[in-house]
Amino acid sequence: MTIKLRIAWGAGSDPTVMRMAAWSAVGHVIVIVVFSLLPRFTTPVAAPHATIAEIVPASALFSAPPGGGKTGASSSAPVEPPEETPSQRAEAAREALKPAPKPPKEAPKEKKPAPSLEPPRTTKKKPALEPEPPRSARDDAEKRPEASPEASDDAPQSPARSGKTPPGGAAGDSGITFGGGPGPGGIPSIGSSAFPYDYYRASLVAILQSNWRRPVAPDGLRETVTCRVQFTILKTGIVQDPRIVQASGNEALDQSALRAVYNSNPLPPLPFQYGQSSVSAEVVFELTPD
Amino acid sequence: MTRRHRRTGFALLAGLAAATLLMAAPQDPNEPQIGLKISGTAVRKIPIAILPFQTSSSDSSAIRGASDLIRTVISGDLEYSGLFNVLPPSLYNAVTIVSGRVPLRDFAALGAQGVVSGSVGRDAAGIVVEGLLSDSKSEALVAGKRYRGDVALARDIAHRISNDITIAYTGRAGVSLSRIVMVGKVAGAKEIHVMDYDGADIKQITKNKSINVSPAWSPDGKRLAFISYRQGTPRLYVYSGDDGSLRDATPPGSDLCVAPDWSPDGRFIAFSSATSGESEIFVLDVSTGRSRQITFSKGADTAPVWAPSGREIAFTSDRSGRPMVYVMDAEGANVRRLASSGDYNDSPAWSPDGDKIAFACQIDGRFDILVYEISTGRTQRLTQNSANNEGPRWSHDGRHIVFSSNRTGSYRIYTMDPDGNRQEMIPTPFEATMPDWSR
Repeated sequence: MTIKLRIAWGAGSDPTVMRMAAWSAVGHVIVIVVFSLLPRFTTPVAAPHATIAEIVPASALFSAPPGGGKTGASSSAPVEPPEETPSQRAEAAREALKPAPKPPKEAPKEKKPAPSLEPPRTTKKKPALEPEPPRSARDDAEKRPEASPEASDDAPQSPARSGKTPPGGAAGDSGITFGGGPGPGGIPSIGSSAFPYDYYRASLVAILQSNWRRPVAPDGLRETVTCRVQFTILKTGIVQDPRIVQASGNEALDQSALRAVYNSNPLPPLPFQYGQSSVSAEVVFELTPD
Repeated sequence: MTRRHRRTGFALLAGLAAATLLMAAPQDPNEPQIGLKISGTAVRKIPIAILPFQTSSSDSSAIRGASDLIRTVISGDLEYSGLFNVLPPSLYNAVTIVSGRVPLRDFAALGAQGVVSGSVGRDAAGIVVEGLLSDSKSEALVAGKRYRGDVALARDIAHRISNDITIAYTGRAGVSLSRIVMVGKVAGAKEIHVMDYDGADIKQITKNKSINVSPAWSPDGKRLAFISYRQGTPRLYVYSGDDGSLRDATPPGSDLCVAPDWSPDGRFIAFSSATSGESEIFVLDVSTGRSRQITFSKGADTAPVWAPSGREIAFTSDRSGRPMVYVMDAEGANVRRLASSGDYNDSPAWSPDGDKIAFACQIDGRFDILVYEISTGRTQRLTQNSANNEGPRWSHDGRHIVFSSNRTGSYRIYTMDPDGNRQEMIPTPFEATMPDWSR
């Protein structure tokens, strides 16, 4: 092979042959380049990227700094950039938790333009949704300075502090109440005045309750047993570091309580007016004999 | 509008539903609660009021129409979720909103815990919708967002607002943004269709005038796997919603494919194929296109579905003589039989929490949907006296089951709660079967 080439080249003292060889080389390079690039043009890259570009803004907009004001801050400017709309956090929480963070609606929607299977059907307008923090959120932030000090004043009397009675009146006979323990590492406790959101506590109790599978004690219970579980709730509603801070001595109860917390993750995002990045919750699970 | 049609559907079904309700309600009285105080197990629905979305007097009828639609859709979503008790508007029609300020205390007095309010306005892009959720007692704004988009997206936006509300109370998305894929009979052919979970916006995906069956959503909701006879024999296809491409994913040597199902991580598709005469279950690696046979029994094995953990697969097999539901490890080992009621069990579907398996069971010559609870081994019958009920699939939040039934004479898609309550038809202009619910 090599020899033949040499011969050809050797014979190429003839300038036309030399020129032909040069053109051939150039031609081959061009063809190789073209073919190596070609697949990018033949595969319909443009279409999927266009649709993905539609989807990304929908969830990405949730990281845009909105105008939620800080609780108790001076009214005018949104001083607290991390104040996202609550839904932004919800989205973030969902995203952090689910492996496939696509808004479920969008993807199916993209089915509409369907080139290859059938003749293309009418391309529906892309859902160019562009959520922003609502104006009224800002209005609300302006109202808030009045609202929150008041709430803070209330909070010390809030039943949450007593450690036994449920705050927000939602827990009722649930067997789930809040403990009054302070959060670890200076994280505000959910029962403290730093967290004046009764509705959030009520939701938390309702969620834990719906996820708590009470253990069945084969021999029955002789006395009321309680177990205290502590965990941290991040802004996004994600539960972190749940642990038993006071075991009941009834292993089944302890485990069921932990399980209830695991199964409740993610919780609703923390109120967007809340200025801190997390809150610590201590929850008492109580089993009473019949 | 679809909602309204659906309402009439509800009315038609009311009798049936009531009957089913009576039958489904009693829960195993034979399980005594031993020495434990079980209190407050019933999950309380959250009372919520939805105010009309405000428009300005200069707005066109399109905007006002969008406003009405948004309120109707949100109301339908929240009511359907089973989490909320939407207070009838007649209760608070008299409440007036002065300069955009909602008198939340009045709503607290009416018993509403949450109050949804908002506005619809005009914009260069189309409409601007603001949706707010307030807590009536503390008068705090719980969630709020503004959407901007084409007027045609009003319904979409409403579903999104519903979803925001659901997340604000539960931490998790509901079904308001989800879609249902199904097989619709059109002009003698069976084509794949997709619709919103509430029956709106039906779109035909395949148009090959052949037979297309067994559609299954990928976990990310971007792809559909289904079986098509477009080339004569049943082959496995993957349709991508991103670019609308259709790919023949049939592994070499696998003929007569049936019943695909995606693994929870979206990397594999389990399906059955009658390569060697008898149907066996295979697992296809979607990225490499390689497949592996995982059942080798005598008798047909089909209808595989993954456990949400991805570690197990439930399937139908007639290895014992009659089709029954079995469970095996995802590698094919450790096969065990599940429920044994009826003489013909098929199409298992694993609940998203992994604690239950719904399946269709032939009882007295008709199919009904049952749910098997794994921890207790108990089986509960969800449908009864309503012709055939088949092909159950769970919604991703585990709060609903979709299935098909010919109780009205021809097959339609229905949904119900996991206890058999609230069986409701989703009207389609064609016969519809084999539903699957997207994330």
